[in-house]
Amino acid sequence: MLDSRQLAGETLIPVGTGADAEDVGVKQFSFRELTYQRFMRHPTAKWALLGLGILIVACYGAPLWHLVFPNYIQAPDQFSLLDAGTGPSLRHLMGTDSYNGHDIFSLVLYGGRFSIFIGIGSMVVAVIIGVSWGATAGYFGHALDAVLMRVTDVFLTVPALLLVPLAARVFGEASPWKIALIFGLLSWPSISRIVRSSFLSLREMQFAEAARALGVPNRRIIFRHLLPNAVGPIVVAFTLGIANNIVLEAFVSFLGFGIQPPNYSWGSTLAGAQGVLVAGNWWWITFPGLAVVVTVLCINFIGDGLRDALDPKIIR
Amino acid sequence: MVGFIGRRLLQSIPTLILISLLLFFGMQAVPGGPLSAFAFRPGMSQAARNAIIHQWGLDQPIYVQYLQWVKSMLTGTWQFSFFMHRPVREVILQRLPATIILMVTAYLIQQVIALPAGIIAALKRYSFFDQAVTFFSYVGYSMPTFWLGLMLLLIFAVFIPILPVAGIINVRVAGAPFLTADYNAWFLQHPITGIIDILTHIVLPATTIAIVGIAGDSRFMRSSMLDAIHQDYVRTARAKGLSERVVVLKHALRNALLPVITNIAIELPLLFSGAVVTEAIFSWPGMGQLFFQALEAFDYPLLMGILSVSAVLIVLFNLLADVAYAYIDPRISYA
Repeated sequence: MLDSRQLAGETLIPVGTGADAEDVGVKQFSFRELTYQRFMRHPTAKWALLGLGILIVACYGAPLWHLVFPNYIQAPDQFSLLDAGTGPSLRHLMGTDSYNGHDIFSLVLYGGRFSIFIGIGSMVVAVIIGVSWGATAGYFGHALDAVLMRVTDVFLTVPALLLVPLAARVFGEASPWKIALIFGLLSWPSISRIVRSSFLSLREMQFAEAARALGVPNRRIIFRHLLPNAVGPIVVAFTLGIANNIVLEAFVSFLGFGIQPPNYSWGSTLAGAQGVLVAGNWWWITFPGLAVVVTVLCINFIGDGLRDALDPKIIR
Repeated sequence: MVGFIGRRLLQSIPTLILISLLLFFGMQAVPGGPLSAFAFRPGMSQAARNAIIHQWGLDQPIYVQYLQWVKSMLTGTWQFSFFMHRPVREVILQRLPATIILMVTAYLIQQVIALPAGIIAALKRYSFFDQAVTFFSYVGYSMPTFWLGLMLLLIFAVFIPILPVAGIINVRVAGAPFLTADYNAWFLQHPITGIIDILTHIVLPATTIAIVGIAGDSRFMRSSMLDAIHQDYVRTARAKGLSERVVVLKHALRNALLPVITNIAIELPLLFSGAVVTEAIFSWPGMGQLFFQALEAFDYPLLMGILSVSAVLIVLFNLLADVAYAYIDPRISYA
């Protein structure tokens, strides 16, 4: 099995060349298999996926680690003022913060849950809105397209960086769900643009015309005939959007407009750290930020791999 | 050309109208209304409250308030800031120069490093240098700007204290805050000290913005240059026996720069966001810092002013990108 795949890696044959391929005895691959193979051939994407998996398990398992290693992993409501502001040691792997004596390592683990949740949750919202919006605009075109895209322009013109903290402040008392929703409501426009532009060309294709001629209802053409063909760019934008929103969330929470204690995210773990920067306790700033960098790096690599894997034009 | 710019400007008018509607009515959704900022003063009597409501025109119908706001944005003072007790326009215009200085400096650093790095990486593909550039661009691209700023602060202002921690000037040297009348008089008397003072303060924030930008731009330049090198006309140039220098600089590079220059213009809004973030970290007295101060105080007219100005700036940036594109690439017509 493995051998045949490796062999086929050199001589990929598009699905549907039918009998010829059977004769030569080369296995045919479905789109899903081809995508999988291309993704695994990307030099870093598979390692990034592994790394992200480990991070997710580490973060979401935090309450469990707390039970298993109560001396090393503390719940966010456990802290001792006596330990405040100590550097990394065996007891506190990433040191403690300077005000309350929270163990930074524990906060990074616990906080990762919300950071990752907000990244993914917001993009799920963004994809749902962006796909419906962009598909409608691209499929129906004309006046509807013009109106819908004007609205998209508006959202793209006011920097999300300013709107997000504003919205978070306005809708006060930020729960992770609320923040994810706000981020999602502000990051759909770029997705809708991508979907619209692929729909503009897809709807002119013969298979779409055929479906229309057969009397297939519009909704079904959009979701069953066109959308699967536009899935590649959407998945890539979804992935990269997660990375974007994790960074944005960190910034907003760092400034105190997003997630706030007693809830922790990577950003809110850093809140207050700048005030004591001059004291030189580097660990407080360094480690939560590194968590963001590593996560975002993994997600960007995965996005890269997906781009290569899902683009049917690249056949290597 | 003029017609093209005029048409594009006309096209942006509906966008700007929609933005103003979004901003204004979005602000009305604030729980407790725009007056909620005053709710922090518990000792206030109902009469005082009503006086304020009347003073700010908040007892009028909502569409009248909207029209008044638009009118003041177009012709007047952009309304009064709740907390600074000064016209919003005055406050913003005083902060705008610092943001622009920061953006321009960061931009210069970014391009001076990113373009050569991308070109060399493309010419020496798969070399150690190329790998290093690629690695750096991935890491730089994944770094939160604000965290990078904090790390640079930690290293160059705390551990090796050679650069100032915050601000745009040393108030103790100048004797007055940036761009006040006293400062301007001092600056005119001591231009060299003044410029050096600003330069030492700008190094860290500008580098912070530039590093993230270099990551993206060097990669873009590299791929554009790689595209150009493998074109037929480059092979022709080599076949003609032109020197490698001429082939690279005159034939490949000039074509490779086309998409790069467009990309540079497209990136301006990103640069603005970067400035907003770094200003918050380095207490840089620009629009970004002002925005977060206004947000803290819920200074509603000021917030609207800043958002409107940044929206207009971004519309202009986009226009600039289109014009640059049409101007540089002879294959694009203005039509």
